Amino acid sequence: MHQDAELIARCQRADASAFDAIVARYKTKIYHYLYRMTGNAEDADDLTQEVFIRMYTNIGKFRAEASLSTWLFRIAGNLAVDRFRRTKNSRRLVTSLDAPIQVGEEEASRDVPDMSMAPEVLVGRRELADHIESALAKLPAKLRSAVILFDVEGMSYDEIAGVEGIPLGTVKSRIFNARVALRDSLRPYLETE
Amino acid sequence: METKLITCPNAEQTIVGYIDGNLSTDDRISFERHMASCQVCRTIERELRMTQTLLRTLPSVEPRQDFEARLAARIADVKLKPSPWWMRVWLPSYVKPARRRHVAIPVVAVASVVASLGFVYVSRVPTVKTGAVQTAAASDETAVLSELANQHHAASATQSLGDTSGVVVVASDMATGGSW
Ligand SMILES: [Zn+2]
Repeated sequence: MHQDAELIARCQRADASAFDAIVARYKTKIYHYLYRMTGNAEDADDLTQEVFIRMYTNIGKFRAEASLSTWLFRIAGNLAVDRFRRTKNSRRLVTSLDAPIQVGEEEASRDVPDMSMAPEVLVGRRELADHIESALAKLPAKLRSAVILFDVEGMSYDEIAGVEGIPLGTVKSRIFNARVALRDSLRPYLETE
Repeated sequence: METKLITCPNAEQTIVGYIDGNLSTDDRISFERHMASCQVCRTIERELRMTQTLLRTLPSVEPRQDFEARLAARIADVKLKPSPWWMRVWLPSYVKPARRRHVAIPVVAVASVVASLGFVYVSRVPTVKTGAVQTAAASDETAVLSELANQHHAASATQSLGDTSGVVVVASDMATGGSW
């Protein structure tokens, strides 16, 4: 946080290396969030770039007391929602072939004599990820964003409230409703007692 | 110690808080006591916890290796448009600065570049005012503008400026503002 404030101040004094540092620091988090929001690498990439362009063009308006993370994720969330509105039924959630580097599978694809890396296990894992992704895609954007920020990005309720501009109680309701909807979509994958 | 009674219809925030470890000790104990006698809450808690576990199995993803290079190109493109002063005085360090020639370009030439950029700008983004920018630019920023002009010519030679559809120009409410 403190470091962010310093980077922003340096950016506002036209220190280009501070801008680089912010990009380096946040690009993967923002990309990951947008990938889960849009369901595809191409939109996630494009919108992540857009987030930093907007930061660049608006840096003069940024208030020192605000959180950079909150600001960036808020821009990202707005862009994702806007993108949905424009491309309603286009190629959302086609993730299989053009998926970007998937860290887990990157390792998995190496020649390791380990049964957890057996082809059928990998196919199962890919299939599960596909199901989770399409379950996420069915959620309204507000619910999707809340649950992704919490469970995937590891934000606190307070941080999510800041990003979405909503009260804490609403954050909890959205996370609850998101999980209920995901549970219904993913029921075949839930272990029974 | 006060024991809060949790009724199922009001339990959603409690269940979420419980799963995420965000309840006070008192609330946690109360809810565990409630679950001991409530099959409904017990089932919901278990299923939602498993759902959360599934969600967390999603693999990490990373942006492409050339992310910075492409970002730099897009920012350079944005810079070709009339813009707030802070956009014109600096670029990220990975954007290669254009040849700095602080030779003043004749005012007419500068004005025509500004005008043509302004025209392109207006035609793409009808809501943005360019008048103030042009007026300010005409006065004391000839050096910056000459660099702008150089970049414009350099960029025209090597890349298409046509596709700027995704590129911004500040929609400040989107960038800074409101919840959705
Ligand atoms: Zn109950």
